[in-house]
Amino acid sequence: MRINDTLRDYLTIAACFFIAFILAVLPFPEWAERFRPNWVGLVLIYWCIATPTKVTVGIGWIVGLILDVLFDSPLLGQLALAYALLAFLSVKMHLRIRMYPRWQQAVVILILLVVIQFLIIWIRIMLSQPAKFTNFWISVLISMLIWPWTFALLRNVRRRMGIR
Amino acid sequence: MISILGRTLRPPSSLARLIILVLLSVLIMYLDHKGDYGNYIRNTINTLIKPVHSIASLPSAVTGWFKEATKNETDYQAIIKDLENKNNKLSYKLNRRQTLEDENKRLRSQLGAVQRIRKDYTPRLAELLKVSIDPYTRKLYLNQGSNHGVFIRQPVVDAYGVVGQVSKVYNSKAVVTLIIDPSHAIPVMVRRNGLRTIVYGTGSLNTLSIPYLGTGSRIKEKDILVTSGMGGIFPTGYPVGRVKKIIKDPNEPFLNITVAPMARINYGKEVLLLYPKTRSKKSTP
Repeated sequence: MRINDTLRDYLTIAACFFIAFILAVLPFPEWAERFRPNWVGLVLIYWCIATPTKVTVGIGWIVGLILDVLFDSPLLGQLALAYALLAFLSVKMHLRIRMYPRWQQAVVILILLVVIQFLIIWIRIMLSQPAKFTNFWISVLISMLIWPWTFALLRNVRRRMGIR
Repeated sequence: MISILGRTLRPPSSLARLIILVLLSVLIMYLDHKGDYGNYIRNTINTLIKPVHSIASLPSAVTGWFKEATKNETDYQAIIKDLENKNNKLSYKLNRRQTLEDENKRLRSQLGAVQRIRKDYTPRLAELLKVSIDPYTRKLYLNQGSNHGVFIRQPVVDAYGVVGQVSKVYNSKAVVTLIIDPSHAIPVMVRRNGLRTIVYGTGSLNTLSIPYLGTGSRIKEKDILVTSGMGGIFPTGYPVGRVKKIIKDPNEPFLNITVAPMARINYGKEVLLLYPKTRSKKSTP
């Protein structure tokens, strides 16, 4: 019975990530590309602060590795590294983030995502791949703006499925 | 806590796990850089995430289907008329070209120059999956892979010009690096006078650039650039782009040239994969 429950929890979380992956690669018109929020990052942060015992660094790493393949990174593992760090920071701060009011949370999420973007760009520069510091700001800001709704939606999912 | 053989083991702290995973990432990056090991992982994950791609490309497929379904008879008649028109024009051009080609062959043989057998390619249709990939680069997925005979560095073109080349091959999928990708370069020549140079991608959709042409070069705006065949990847003489703008800065040794790609990279869904007709033909000059 208990094993069944855990399995169901993990399947729910996996389904959330699955939808986030689809949203991440859904074709957008050229001009709208830069407005695409970091869906996978938001979902990962949510599950890290909501269930820090279930979704941890390891899951973040696997999610990053899948993104590596999905985005066809020049080298496998560069996004895996970044998302492992994102999961680590979120888990470390989960108690504090939970206490904050929704908009303050959004600011913390902004900072987390900017840190990750800087890490990703830094890795790209280290490996001498094309990288720009200019085109992620709008995406990160939009991620921050939609955080409250993402949070509410995912909390609904979590409560409905009784995941704790 | 995990218990193994009656002993309880504390799981490592999250910092320790992070460090292990960071090291693992670096190891994977190294292996991917060194050799083919990364491809096994890529292939496995790719089969796992196949549904993601198929669902994500659904909207554009549905809109395409919808457009197709709402066309009425008059539309089709118009299309047929248009196509017939085009076909006439094209066959006229083709005939003219054929005579030119024959003449060219004759002249060459008369000159006694080494007859370089033109590499002949069979084009085959392939479909692009309209999904966005890495925002820093310009790549697209193709719905055919090594199962269909796609190979690495295979040229990809459309009816108007060069689209790119295959950069990675999986079982049933392949990655195409577009000519607008910032890491892509393609050897070209100016069709008017044969001036050879290299065209680089810039990362933005409608611009390519030629960074290394001196200020004295004989190139004009609206010149058409075709592949020169120098790299041995692309067939010779296929259109690549049209010179959009030439900026001459007296302080710079090189011209600043922007080029518009000929291929309709953002419109078409179908592209042509070029298969060399015979490999043996190439080796016997």
